Amino acid sequence: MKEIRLHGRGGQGAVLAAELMVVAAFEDGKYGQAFPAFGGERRGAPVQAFVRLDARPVRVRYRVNQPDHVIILDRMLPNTVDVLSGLKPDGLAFMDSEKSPATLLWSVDAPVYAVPATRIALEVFGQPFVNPAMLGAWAAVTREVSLEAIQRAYQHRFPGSLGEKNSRAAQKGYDFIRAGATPVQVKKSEQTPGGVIKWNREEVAGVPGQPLHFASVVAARTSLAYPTGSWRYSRPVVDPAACNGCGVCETFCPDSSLMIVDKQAIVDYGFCKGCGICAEECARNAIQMVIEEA
Amino acid sequence: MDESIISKYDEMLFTPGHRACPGCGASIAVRAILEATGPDVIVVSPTGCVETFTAQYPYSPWGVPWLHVLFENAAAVASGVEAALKKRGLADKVKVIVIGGDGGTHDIGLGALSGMMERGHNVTYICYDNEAYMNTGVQRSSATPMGASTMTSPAGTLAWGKEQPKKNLPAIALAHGIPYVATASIAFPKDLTRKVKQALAIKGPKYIEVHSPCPIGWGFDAAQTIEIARLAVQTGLVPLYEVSEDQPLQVRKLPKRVPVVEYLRLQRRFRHLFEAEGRQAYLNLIQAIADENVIRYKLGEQNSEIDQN
Repeated sequence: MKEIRLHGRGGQGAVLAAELMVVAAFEDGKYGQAFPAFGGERRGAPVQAFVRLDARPVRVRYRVNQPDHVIILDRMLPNTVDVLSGLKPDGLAFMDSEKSPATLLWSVDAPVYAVPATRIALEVFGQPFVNPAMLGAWAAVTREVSLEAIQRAYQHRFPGSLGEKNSRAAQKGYDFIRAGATPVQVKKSEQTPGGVIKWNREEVAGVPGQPLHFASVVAARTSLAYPTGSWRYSRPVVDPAACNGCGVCETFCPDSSLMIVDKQAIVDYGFCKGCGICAEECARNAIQMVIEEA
Repeated sequence: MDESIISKYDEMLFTPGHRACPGCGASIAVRAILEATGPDVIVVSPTGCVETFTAQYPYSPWGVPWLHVLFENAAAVASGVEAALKKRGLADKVKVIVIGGDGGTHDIGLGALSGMMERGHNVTYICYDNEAYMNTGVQRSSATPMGASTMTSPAGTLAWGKEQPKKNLPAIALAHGIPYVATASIAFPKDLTRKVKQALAIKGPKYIEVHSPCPIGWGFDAAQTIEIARLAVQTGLVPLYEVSEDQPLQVRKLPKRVPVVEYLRLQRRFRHLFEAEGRQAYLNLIQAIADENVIRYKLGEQNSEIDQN
């Protein structure tokens, strides 16, 4: 049995990609399952989806903790989410990126294929629908399912020209690998990826000795161990000369991550989700939103 | 992280790290409310967006005691908390508030809220009104305004969104004869904070409704949350007022009113009113609601005594 974990952000299509991987496996006469991990969060938040593929019916029903393959739909994720958590020793990772993955944060040594899925998607769709190219590349390396099966899965899901485009994007991802792309061997970094914080149960449980169950009391302000900065697509940049510290941005920040210190607005990029309210409401135009690039 | 900021988190009553969508109006409301209460407060929340995005176990952004209870019984539990504080001699030191959404307030929790108001508990009930069940995927509530398209009041060739007007819960609260009722908006956070302080200073049940736009459910860019909230007030669709035992009706006057279409056209939930033919009649109906508010709440008169912050 092969176990695969997909990492993306809300709205990027990780859940859809997982489902179509299994539909493709059915096309090839295999068995499989796909399901997402749900949280309360929505747009921009890191999400996971899980896939299992086998020649026999798949009976297990828990999330994939020790994946053979990891597919990362967003280059920004590795620094905040431990995407390689539990990766098997001979495991493989695939990431949407045109840059080398070597400089990002990783929790283990692993081969990572950098696939230019965003570029392919922009060529084919004019929009960053990265998942077909990622699945094409994954199929080319692992041969778990055939390219044709993936293309049929997309065409079945999106009849007409959209299915045709998805099929072409999958082909381009596949061809990218077939043209001789090799993985980059990433090294375990000194700094561990953030996001999934290793919290101390003793510190978090509010009542000493209380058993930890769903009704237990949680200590105050523990969400400070959960940085939400990875949700951001663009960041507010403050012009210190224009800012007079009036505090309108601080009042209107939904994430309490912008504060006035010594009459200057300071953004905590560890938490800022990049909504842009501060830039919109600043009367002096002292805040500009700048697209994030990893 | 910037060191100058980190030191501030220890004192904060509502920290970052919660899972609200980018541009969330409700979390802006929560911050302004806690600004008024200070740390000596117990907050009760029914199920809803605020509950969901602040209760991803074991991560909590709350810097004050906070209880999550069922959708229907926040006001009942808050009544119990208040009774317990009385028994322990803490009633004068610790305030009890509810922060609930419009689903938990206008619909599911209305029975318990009515009971709390009728029994006269010293609780401030605050509803952040995002005008539908957002967390579960935008289903209509009785606080959804007329004409809005939601999952369960979809616009189509015949239907034009929700056909019924918004439930006037502040009026229902007033009918209980409670000592303080107010409406507020996240676009005017100082006004909101002042009203919560005002409510906390009065003994007995208080009700405050805070208009809190939702970028996902209403369909606008996350950066526009405050602008949308401001327009809702400026059109007259969301009148800001307060009624207490001492002062009959205090309103935020609207010296210059904005036509409702300026507010509606920015939101996906009202887009159908502009796309199809023959929808002008519906726009007129919504404009009539705003016009009625101006008369009923005397929004247009200039002899205002209200603080215009």
